[in-house]
Amino acid sequence: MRFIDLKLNTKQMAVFGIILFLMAVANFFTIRKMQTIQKEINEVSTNWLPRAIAISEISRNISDLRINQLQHAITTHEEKRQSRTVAIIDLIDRINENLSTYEMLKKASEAQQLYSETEQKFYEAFDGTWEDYQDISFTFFALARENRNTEAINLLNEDALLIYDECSNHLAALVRINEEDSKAAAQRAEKTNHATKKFSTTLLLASIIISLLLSGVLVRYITNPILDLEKAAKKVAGGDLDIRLNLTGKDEIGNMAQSFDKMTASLKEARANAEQQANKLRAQNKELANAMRELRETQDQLLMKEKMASLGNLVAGVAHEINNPIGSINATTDITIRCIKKIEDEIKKSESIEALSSNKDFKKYFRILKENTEVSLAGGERIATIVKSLKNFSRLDQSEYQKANIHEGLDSSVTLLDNEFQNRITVCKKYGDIPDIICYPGQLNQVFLNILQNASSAIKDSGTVEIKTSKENSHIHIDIVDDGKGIAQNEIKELFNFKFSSKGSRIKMSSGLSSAYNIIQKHEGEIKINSELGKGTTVSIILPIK
Amino acid sequence: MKNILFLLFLILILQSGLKAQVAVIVNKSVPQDTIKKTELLDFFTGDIKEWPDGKPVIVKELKAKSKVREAFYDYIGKNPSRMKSIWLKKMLSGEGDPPESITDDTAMVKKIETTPGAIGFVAKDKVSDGVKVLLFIQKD
Repeated sequence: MRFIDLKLNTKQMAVFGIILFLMAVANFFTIRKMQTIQKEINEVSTNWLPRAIAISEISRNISDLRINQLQHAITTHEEKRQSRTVAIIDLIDRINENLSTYEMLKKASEAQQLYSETEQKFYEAFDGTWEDYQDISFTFFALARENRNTEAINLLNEDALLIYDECSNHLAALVRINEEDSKAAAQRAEKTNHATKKFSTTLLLASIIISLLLSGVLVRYITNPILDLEKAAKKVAGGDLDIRLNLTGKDEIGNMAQSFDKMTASLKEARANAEQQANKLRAQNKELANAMRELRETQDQLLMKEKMASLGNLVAGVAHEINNPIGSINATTDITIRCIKKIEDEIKKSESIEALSSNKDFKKYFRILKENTEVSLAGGERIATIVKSLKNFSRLDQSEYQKANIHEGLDSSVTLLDNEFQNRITVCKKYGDIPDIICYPGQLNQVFLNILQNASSAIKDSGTVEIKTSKENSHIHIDIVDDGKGIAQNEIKELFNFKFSSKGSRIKMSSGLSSAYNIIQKHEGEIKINSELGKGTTVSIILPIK
Repeated sequence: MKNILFLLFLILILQSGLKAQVAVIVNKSVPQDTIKKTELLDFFTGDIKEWPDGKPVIVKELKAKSKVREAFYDYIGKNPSRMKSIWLKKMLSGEGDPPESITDDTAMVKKIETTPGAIGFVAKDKVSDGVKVLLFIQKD
């Protein structure tokens, strides 16, 4: 398990744990050392010092005792002697108290092994001399009682003095020993204190240095990766998807960094895919545009073909229309020629104008001629009409926006379809009072022709096509009604769609109404179809008056 | 086996040599055959000055600082110098004089033999038929 693989909180806990441990160790040692110092101070204050005090007290008490004894010996005054005695008894009590104190302290010190053999030896020696001094005191007080004062004083100044000196020396030695011991303890305490200070300082410094190092480690393993991550994130935000953190740690940051790398890689891949898709889409769009263009071209071609085809039909029809009157003209002309020859013959044969005028044959031929000429005239007129219609209709290819009479357009369209209608279809015109409108007349004619052609093909045998015009507010209405087979409801909306169907060898628009729809749209008008199967179809065109 | 017995014997001898064996002795006139520690203390401090029969108690003590003396005072729980303090106080307050100090054990035995109501202590092996032993004190 590497350090870098530890979870963040574990890492932090480990580092702070180490720091805390160091602190705890430092504290522990300091406290231990302080305890040692405290112990040494306690030793001084509970052992040597009180013992030294007790001994000093004893020393003073004994010295007082001796002084009182001297005074007791010197005075002969009974009251004074009595007061000395009281003082001496008091001193003995005090000495005993102090000795008890000392022995109690001694016992306590012995339990702590703080009572030296030397002190014991000196104390025993003192005890011995103190006993001796008391022994001498018995003698002294016995002498004093018998008023043998001189002897008593001599005893006090000679034998007793020697013992007293010895006793004092022992006490002094005891005080010295205690002083020395307490001094030594104080020195030890001082030394320990010094060592502790040094040790604590060193440990504190070490703790600080180790803490700093550990903080550095934390920074290295936590803060730096986060900063790297932030930098990388900024770069990614700026569009650089090639950046990788490549952190291998298994902690949260490591996981995050790996996720980040994965994310960046995915992002890059996604972007590449998107680009690819976009390119593909662009290519497809281009293809689609091409296809659309081709389609439009094909459509245009088809429209042209359709136009040419209807023009062909039209031309054929028109030719037929023209051919009829020409045929009749030719026929009548032949008859006319023959009539004229017969009339010439009759003129040559007759002797007078009167005879001629009464000649029945001449009259017959002349009537025929007259009739024939009328027929020729009618044929000519018919041709003239057709040509006029043709001329009118030829606006088909004019795209000029101009004022035009809708009725004229309707008439020419009907005329052009005369051949198709023949005797099969009766055209019933119910023209209302409508004004001329500004339009593309040729294009509107094409629409009319288209609708009329459709009506013609919808009527199987014979039928009626009704053309009604009317004005309503600012619009004109043109209704073309046939009584043909009708269109199914669901097919009506398909009528305006542009589609192809192949019928035999000829490609034909299923309905020319899609171009009709476009043209009416161009005129900001409306085209509607109402139809019922078996009953017929009504195509309504509404155009604005401009 | 012999060696061990010899060793035990040796230890016994050595121990008896080290041990201070004290005998509390009284004059034969003393009307009791045993003594309790408290009684002993009361007699030696001078708090009780008469035997049960009303005769005065005459306390004698050894002068020399010996093991026997030490063992005796240890037994009654008083340090000799403290004992002297007590006596000194009694003497000064007129309650009585300190006991007579006898120079050695032989003199002590003799003194007890000849003094009616006397009580003292000696080494056990110094005891004679002329005295009554109230108590043996043995100290390691």
